[in-house]
Amino acid sequence: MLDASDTIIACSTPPGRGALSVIRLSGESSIKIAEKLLGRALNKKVNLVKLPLWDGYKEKCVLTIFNSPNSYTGENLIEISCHGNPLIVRKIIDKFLQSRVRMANPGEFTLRSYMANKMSLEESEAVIQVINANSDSALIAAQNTLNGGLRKKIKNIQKKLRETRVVVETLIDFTDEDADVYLGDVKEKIEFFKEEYKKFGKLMESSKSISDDIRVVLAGPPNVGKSTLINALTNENVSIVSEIPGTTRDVVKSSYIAEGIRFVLEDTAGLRKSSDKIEEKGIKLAKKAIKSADIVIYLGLTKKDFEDMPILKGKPCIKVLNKMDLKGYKDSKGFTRISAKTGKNLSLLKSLIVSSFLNFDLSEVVAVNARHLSFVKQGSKAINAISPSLISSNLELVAENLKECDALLGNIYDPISADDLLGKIFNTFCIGK
Amino acid sequence: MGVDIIVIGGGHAGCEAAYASARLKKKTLLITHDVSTIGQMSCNPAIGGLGKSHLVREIDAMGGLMANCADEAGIHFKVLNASKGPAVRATRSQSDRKLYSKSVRNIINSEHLLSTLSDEVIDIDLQGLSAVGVILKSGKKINARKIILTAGTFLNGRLFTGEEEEEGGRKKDKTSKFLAKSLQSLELGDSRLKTGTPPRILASSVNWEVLEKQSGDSPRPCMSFINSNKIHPEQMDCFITRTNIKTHEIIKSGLDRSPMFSGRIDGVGPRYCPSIEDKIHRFSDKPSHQIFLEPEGLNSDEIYPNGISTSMPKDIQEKMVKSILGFEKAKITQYGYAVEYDFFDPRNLYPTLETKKIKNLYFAGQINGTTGYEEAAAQGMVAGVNASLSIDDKEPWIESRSNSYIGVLVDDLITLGTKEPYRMFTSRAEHRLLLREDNADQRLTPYAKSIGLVDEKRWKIFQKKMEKVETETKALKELKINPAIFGGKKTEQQSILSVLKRPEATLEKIYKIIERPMPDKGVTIEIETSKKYEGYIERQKKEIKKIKKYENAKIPKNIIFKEIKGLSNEAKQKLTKVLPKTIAHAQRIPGITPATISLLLVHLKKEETPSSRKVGS
Ligand SMILES: Nc1nc2c(ncn2[C@@H]2O[C@H](COP(=O)(O)OP(=O)(O)OP(=O)(O)O)[C@@H](O)[C@H]2O)c(=O)[nH]1
Ligand SMILES: [Mg+2]
Repeated sequence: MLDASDTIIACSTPPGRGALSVIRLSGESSIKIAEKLLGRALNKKVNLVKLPLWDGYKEKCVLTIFNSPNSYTGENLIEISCHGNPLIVRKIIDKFLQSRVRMANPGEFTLRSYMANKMSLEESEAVIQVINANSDSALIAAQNTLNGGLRKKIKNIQKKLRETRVVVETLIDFTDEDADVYLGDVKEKIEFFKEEYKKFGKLMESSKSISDDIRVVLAGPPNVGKSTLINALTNENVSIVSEIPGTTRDVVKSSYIAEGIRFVLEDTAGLRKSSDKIEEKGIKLAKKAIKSADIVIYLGLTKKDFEDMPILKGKPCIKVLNKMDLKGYKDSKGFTRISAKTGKNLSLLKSLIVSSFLNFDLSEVVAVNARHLSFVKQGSKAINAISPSLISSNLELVAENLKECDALLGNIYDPISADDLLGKIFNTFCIGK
Repeated sequence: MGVDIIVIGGGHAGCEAAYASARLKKKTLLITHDVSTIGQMSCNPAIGGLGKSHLVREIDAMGGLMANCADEAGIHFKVLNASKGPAVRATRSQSDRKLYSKSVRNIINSEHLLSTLSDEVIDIDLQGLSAVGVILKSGKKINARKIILTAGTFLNGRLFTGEEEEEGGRKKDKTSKFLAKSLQSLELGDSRLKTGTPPRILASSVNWEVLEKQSGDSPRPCMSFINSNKIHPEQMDCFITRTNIKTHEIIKSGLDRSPMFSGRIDGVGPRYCPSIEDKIHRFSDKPSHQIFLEPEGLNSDEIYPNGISTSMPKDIQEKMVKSILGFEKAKITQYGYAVEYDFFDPRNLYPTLETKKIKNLYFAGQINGTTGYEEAAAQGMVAGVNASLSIDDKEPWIESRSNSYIGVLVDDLITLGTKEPYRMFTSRAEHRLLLREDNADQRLTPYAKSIGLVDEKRWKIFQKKMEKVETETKALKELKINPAIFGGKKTEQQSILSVLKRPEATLEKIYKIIERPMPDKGVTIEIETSKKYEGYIERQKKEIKKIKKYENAKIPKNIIFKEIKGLSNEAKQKLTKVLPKTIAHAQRIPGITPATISLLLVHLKKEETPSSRKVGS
């Protein structure tokens, strides 16, 4: 369980050998504990100490002292820099564990920082995303969030939402008080807000995919060259290629980075009616992958291969005709022509994949995680439930939907009180008899 | 000589408090400057309105007197927001001033355990940090087990009209200077607020022909659950006029002599009910402001022009009034004035309204920083009931925010305090949909019955309503109609209950179509709303359940917030100031973050596990 009064320790650099490792010790008594263990005072900001670890071996470490509240966690904190050897790191940590110090839980340093009001919730989440980022854009996004970018975006949409709420609440609570607001204003404001929220929701969704990875699923009939394509695009031989239709059964994954974004490609079984039990299972897996894909590359050889594909409905999809090197190859409008075997037009395909995602400025992108996105989506549900007839008959329910959306967004960082809202009303409208 | 409960003050808070404690069988004494002023409406002669009528109905559901008096004295009734849903509909009534106070006095005087006394209380008699009685001006002491102070605007009241300034809590009434002084020495956190009134106008001097008329509703609604509109006296109309550019210029020309702008009044006024000089100053581009002309009574020749409260000098008031349409020849019968008065920081009160510092001393009404008769009366009810329950050693009456506006009111006051006169609005209640004017009886009457606060008559009426709701709901579930009558394609017949979910469908229309006799409005609204709000109510109930968990997480009385590790200094200060009793309460303190709450929870968990290792063995 989380206990804020304990002193905690953990190695903050990745495990393994290297020039340096940094161990963090945090807690109210961290400095006292270290002083006792070392038998000397740590009164300078940076202290060079010799720490006896084994008989005859003393490790030279640098102890940097951060006094509360000016540290990452807001508590007294020491950073111990030692040689980057796992044995040494473990021995040092062991020493402290014997002196009223316990191992930190994952993320506990950041948790404490959040507890000390040094960081807001979404900022501490971004720390984790900074650490886990596996592409440039994910890192930029995480950093933007860490610098308050996500909160700014949410506050911005909440500001618009509250302008709408102010009008609705004024119409409810000050109906007999000459406030100069009318039902027509509400209808207009809500229509406007719905549009704004749609845009906001889209940005959040694209931001989420950037922070994660983008899942690109290769699909199409058997033997059209899907496996050849995944090998070519990722420059790795991960999927079996053969002239026998129905070769691929499992979903085979491989990835590459373009424009700072990591794309995870998934090769799937060719789609057809099959009596082979195993192939049938593979096709099921393929369909599942298509459904959850961020984008589908549908591969075929002729236009006919693209007829009657209900599964692709509503999915971002790039239609590709393969084997353009073959004689008798027929071109068709609206298709991208490639040869997976010769590599022709593959860079064009790559840039098509990127541009189908990057229709916004990268510096604008913030790190959005699943928790955030689920609030944004629930909010969208609440907003879309407001119909014109609801506005006419039950304005109090409209208010309820708006409030719900506001609260959902607030869950991402912090809530609004009724008093703030009333304050807005008084500043906006001249109210009172 | 001694009584169970002394109530100081005969305004709306004092009367509800005294009436409630007497009904709970406590020997009660109400002391006020002049018993003939009991139940006076010192501001405008109206009761109800958004958020306020909700309070009135809750007081009524608890067996209080305000709704009944408003019915007996009501000369104009209107349901506001009639075109919106039931949760935000609110009844507003105009009262005949004389009839209203007469009705209050009748009820007060007929309660045999309740007596009244004209006198001035100059001090609270203390034994250590417990109140044991009051000291009158003559030096005489009266003992009591509980004291409820409802001094309104009388504590150090000062009245302002232009450059003139005098002592008083209300025109023609004395102020309580001595009591104010002795209370100050108790250091309960007093500061100043202000409120204002408009000039009153001679009705016969108004040119009514040119004014817009507003008639009351028909059928006429009632304030009380147990009244029929047959008890209403004769009805009157209200009228509407507006200020104009000329009015505004006249006011601007006198601003330098206004006590508000010359800085002689320090008290903070309400933002939602500003003086006319405030309005034209803050919203300078608005060319005109509405004035609602309220009759003062059936036989009164005075008009209350609601909307031009002012403390401008008399000559400016004259000119300003005459510049308004219909007022060209108006005669002012009493000039408008501002009142500045002491109030005490309500964060120093428990949810029972007992002061944290002085045991057995309760504060209710305007001295807690509220404005409005309804807010005052609600607090009077809370203090009166809790003082009585405490004498009987019974569990206190603490309303939750999700069960009543009374709960919202008290919780807002004791948790947030207030910087301006606090008024109720429906938007203050986060569970607004559950707190309807028409279901206050369902929310409160069963509790009131359980502590002996309501009589058989009210209980029977309530039970009958609930039985009817049940049988009628069953019947409507069986009966079927075609939903197409409310638009859309013709489909199969559906149960009336499910058809009700459509925004356009109302029971009134349906009863007409199926030619079934319509039950009482209270019954149909309940059935209709429980269907229309279904999904919303489910969600709110879920939220409430979550809150309940924290509501049940009690914070021990002896906790020392300063010693909890990890809390920021700011959080420590705020928690120490409010002394929240539950985690849910702590959560509502402004500036207390979720992180602080987690730390508190961790701390409580640790305290909870008995440190058995230290004890024994
Ligand atoms: N000429 C030519 N042959 C190709 C091209 N791409 C793939 N092939 C050949 O087509 C055959 C099928 O290739 P795969 O990549 O295994 O096809 P697949 O779509 O993965 O097939 P399944 O896994 O059975 O669904 C192999 O013999 C490939 O060498 C191309 O661009 N040009
Ligand atoms: Mg394959």
